[in-house]
Amino acid sequence: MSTPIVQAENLEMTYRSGGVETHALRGVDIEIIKGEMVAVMGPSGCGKTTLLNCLSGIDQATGGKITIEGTNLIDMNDNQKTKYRAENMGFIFQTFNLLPVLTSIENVELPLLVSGTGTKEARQKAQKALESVGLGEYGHHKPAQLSGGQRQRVTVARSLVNEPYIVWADEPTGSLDSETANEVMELLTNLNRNDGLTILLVTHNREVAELSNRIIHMKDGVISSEEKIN
Amino acid sequence: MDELFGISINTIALYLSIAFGFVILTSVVIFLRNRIIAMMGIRNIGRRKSQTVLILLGLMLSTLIISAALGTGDTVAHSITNISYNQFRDVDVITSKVNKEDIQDIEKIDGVANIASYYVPVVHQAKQLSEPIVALSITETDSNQFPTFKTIDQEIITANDLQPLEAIVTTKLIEALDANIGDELTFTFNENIYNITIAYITTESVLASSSSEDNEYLQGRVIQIGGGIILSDNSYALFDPEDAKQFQLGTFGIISVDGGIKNNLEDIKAVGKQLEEKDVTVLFTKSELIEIANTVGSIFVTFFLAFGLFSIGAGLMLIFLTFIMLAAERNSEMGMARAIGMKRINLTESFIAEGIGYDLGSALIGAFLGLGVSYGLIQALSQAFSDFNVTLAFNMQPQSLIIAYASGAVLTFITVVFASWRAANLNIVRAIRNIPEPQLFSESASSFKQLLFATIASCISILRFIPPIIGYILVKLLRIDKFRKRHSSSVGWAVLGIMFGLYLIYWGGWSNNQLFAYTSGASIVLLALPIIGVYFGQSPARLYTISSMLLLWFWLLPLPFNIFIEEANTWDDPINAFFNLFGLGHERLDGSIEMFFVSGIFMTAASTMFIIFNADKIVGLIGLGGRWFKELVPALKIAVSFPLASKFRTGMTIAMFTLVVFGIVVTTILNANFTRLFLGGETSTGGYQVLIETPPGIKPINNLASTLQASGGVDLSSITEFSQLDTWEINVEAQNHPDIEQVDGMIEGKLYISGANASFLTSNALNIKGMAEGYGSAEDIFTALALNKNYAVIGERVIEPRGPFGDPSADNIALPAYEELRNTSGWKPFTMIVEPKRPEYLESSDELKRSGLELTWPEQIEKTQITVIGIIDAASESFIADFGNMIVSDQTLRQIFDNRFDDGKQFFMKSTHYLQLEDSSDKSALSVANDIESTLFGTGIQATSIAKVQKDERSQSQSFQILFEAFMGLGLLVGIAALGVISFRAVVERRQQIGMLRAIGFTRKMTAIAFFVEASFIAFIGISLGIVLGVGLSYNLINSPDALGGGVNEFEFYVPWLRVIWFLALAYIAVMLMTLIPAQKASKVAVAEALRYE
Repeated sequence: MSTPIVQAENLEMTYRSGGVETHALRGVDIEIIKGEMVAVMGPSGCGKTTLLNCLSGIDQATGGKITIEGTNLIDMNDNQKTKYRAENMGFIFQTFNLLPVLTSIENVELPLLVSGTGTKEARQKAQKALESVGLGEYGHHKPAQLSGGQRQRVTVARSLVNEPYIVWADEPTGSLDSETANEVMELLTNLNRNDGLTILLVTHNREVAELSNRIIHMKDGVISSEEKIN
Repeated sequence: MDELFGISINTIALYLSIAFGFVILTSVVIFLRNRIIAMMGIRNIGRRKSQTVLILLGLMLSTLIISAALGTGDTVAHSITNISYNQFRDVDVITSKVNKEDIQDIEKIDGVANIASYYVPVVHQAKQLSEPIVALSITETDSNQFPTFKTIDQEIITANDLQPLEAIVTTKLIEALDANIGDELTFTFNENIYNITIAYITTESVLASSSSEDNEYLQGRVIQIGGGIILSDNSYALFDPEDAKQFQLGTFGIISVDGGIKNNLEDIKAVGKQLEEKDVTVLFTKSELIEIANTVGSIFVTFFLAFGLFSIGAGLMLIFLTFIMLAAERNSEMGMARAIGMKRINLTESFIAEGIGYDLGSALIGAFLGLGVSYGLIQALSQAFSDFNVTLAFNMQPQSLIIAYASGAVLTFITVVFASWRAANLNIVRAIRNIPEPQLFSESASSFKQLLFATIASCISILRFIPPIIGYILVKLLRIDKFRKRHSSSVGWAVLGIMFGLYLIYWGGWSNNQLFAYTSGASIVLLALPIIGVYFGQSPARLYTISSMLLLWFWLLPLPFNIFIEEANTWDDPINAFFNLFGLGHERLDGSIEMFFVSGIFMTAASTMFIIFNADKIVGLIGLGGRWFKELVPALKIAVSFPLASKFRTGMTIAMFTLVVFGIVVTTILNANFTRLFLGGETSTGGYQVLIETPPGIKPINNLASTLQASGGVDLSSITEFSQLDTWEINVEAQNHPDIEQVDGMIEGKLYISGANASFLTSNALNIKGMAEGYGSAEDIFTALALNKNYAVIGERVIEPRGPFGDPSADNIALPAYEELRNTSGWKPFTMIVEPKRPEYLESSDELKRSGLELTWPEQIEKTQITVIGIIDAASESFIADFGNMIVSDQTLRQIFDNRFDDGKQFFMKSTHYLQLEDSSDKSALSVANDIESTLFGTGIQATSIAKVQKDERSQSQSFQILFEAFMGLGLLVGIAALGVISFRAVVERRQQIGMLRAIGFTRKMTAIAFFVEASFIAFIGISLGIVLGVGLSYNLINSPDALGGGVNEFEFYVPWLRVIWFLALAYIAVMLMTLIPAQKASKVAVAEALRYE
């Protein structure tokens, strides 16, 4: 049996606002195996994005334990987590979140530069990542000059460029039309199947979720069920 | 202060109050028309408190600057007026000696007396203290108990209260002699000793002053007539008549006009006229001094406002930028408002309502803070003025406060209305979805027909507003508004801009000779041309880069060339050069201080445009530094990329910094160069180290060397040259030169002519700029003066047809060939007719007789023809300006005065000795000066080290410089506030992007650095551009033939880098401090929340 790359036990997340407590996660246990593509589904407000944020270290869980490739994420301080994310994780967001003032290749090389890679090496790797998503010739285009699908592919390239343990994708097709969404999902599934990239994606879309190996269903901050996809 | 820019203060206050009333009326109308819309705007004020504070700070600065300038002007005017009243007390008119019977029928006169003054050395034997020159006055007291003196105990007394040889003594003399009431003072007339007793102590006034230069002059007019010691005329009989004759300075008439100390100035003027009708020479009136006080106050305001223009301009840009950013912040809510039925005018009204809220508040804060700033300025000015014995007491008239508040509020309101109109001009769908508006300079190809239609549409737009209502009705009646709306485009405005620019070039160049219009026209054409190019599909970046470079080239000419080619100094007007090819060139254009502001505006616009349209190259450069910075590279890249992507707001902020820094740099450099030129170097010292002056009234020492030898006490071997200048005032008339003709009513003037002894003519180091044919050096010229009677050199400043601000100066001998004379050599010598001038206080021949002169001043004095063979440069002229503007040999001077006044020349002239020393160090000069003064104690001479005099003047000049720099530095606050507004806004705007950056590995520190560097980068660009442009323009100004450099041979351009950098580093640190808070805020953005944030 393969070793889990992500392990979370009894994960809890409680938001406090104006004296009111909101329990976004209520003791979630989850494991993601290396090379697996896992989809998290559920109604709005069920805690999908919170789970992704806590697992990736973007948000600090209020309880529980998270281990990624044997490293305990919970005990890390903000700087350690940031460095860990830069070196070992990739992110894809619904609204692409590319910096409009930078070109595609500059956006893609950003995680490498942040983690201290030399500019020349970073540029070469970014170019390669862009080529891997079919945008080798679009390096000097700014996001505004690209279509929605192309922008999301640049985001994918950015998430891959540092050769991460895992890519976190929050509604990666949420802002795309169905045809473009299919193209992006095809790209992600190919990366998962051919290159063994581990992906956790949050989606509302059943069709998108069915492209993964496993679907985790959430409701009211807990995992309500899991289903394996063949 | 009664007037500003020649308009009554009351009139300005009235019109500005009316304009302010219109602002208030507008807000009332908006509120009444639609309360919700008004409230929508007003409630926004409290939405973001820190942002509101910054906006108020930014908006108030223009008002603050206006208020500070007016406060300073008022204080100066008020202080001088007060000094005038205190100094003149009950004396209203000063005349030559007056015969009471002659004027007894002038009704308004209620007091007449004569006062005679003498110079004496005074000793306080009991304390072994002495003063070498003290003016002693003997005054009459008339039947109306006039004139009066105020004692330090506030008692009002007259000279009648004095017994023979009892005296009233001024506080300053009391202090200098450590004396008190009842003490005995001793003075000598020749060798006769007289003892007087101090009976009263009085404060300084026009009738009682212990100044060594007792007869002080203002604009060439006597205003100070009394001495440090006042005796009654009952003492006169006790003096030896021969002594009294020899040492008398003059007798003046003093007249009091009915109405007390602060009486009606019009009455004084009327009495002055009546006196003149009765052939009494009026030397000065109290009303003239009050008018001068107002003029000086007005000059101060004009000066401060002129220098504050950069800051006011930057302040208005900040208001505009702030509103554009507020609009951007509320883009989607404004789109929603428009979607649910709100009209564009409603949005504009809402913004105006908000703007008026900020406006009224900020103008009020600005006006009162301006009071504080002007108080600070006054303190600094008091330091600078301390040498002039002027005490400044802070004062601001209510009218000035009204002007400051109303002008600030009205200026802000106009900017707010324009910004609101622009902000409300949005596309609903784009606004709701928060999609950026298409770029202003987007490429599009179009036709000439459309270009024509767009131009017509722009003309119709103008027609709608001029005159407002008639134009609007006309447009509606002609039904051409639809056409306007359909074809309206920025390209139409560009065409109109080009037409307007061409008209300005013609008007300024060929019709009215106005440099500001000519250069502004050329600049407008250069700025508008690229818009047409972009309209026809050309690359905006390329066109605006070319346009900005051409504009910079145009303004910095001849600088780009004259670094390499000396002759390029004349290449400063390419337009004229082109028309000259066809013989159609324009005449010389007149430019004044306004060019400082105009050049600043256009050079700032051009350089900012250049940076903004070449931003990508700068971003590329950051990558090159990756090898050294590594982890900082992404933060730097983002820090630079973001501001350069927001072209408009970044451009505006850069421009604010550039404009203000430009102004500061130019002021600092010019001041430093002028100080170096006029208060340093051999040219400005004439090559001498020690200056020995003999005040008027004291018999000059004709042979200093032998006098010193006879006295002993001075090591004569340390002195290598004993040079002397005797200076007389003359009337002069220029003639016999084809280029010498009347300019603006001036064909003659008065100047001081100095007769130089042989030593001066051979040893001086004065710089001669222009030389007549046959002369190749200053040495040749001065040798010719020694050998030829009637040869002269004349100062360049005194022959300049234009004053410092371009206006003809009343005191100058205007020569149209001025440029040629001072800048070239080999011209034909020209002649001037000179005539000795009778001193004002020796108007009647009776007076001359009483003063002991054998000869009376003849009714017709012979004129002498003088041949001018050289022009003394401005710096050298400043060295001798106190004494003379024209130098001849002493034989020539004697000939001009027909050798008639040798005995009594101390009454008409000033005698000055210049010494060259073996050891030219400051220390040696000071030691020799002290030795001479103590050796010749009692003769009245004053010896000083020239280096020390210049050092003191430099220190005074520096005080003024710091003052102006500090005042202009206020403008930097605008830039700093702008960066604060932008940085705070950026944190809100980029929240989601910050979240993403933090997610992919940006640490908090890197995020803070990115924001910090972003503000720093904008400030750096703005400051750098300001420095480069400021240095460039200053270089041109200093080297321009119109200014200094054209004639100041071998003068080296100097940039006080340490001062410039120190000053701007302070501004830079302030920027850093201002952006710390938003940078820290950005670093603390919660990542997960930010990513969720829409």
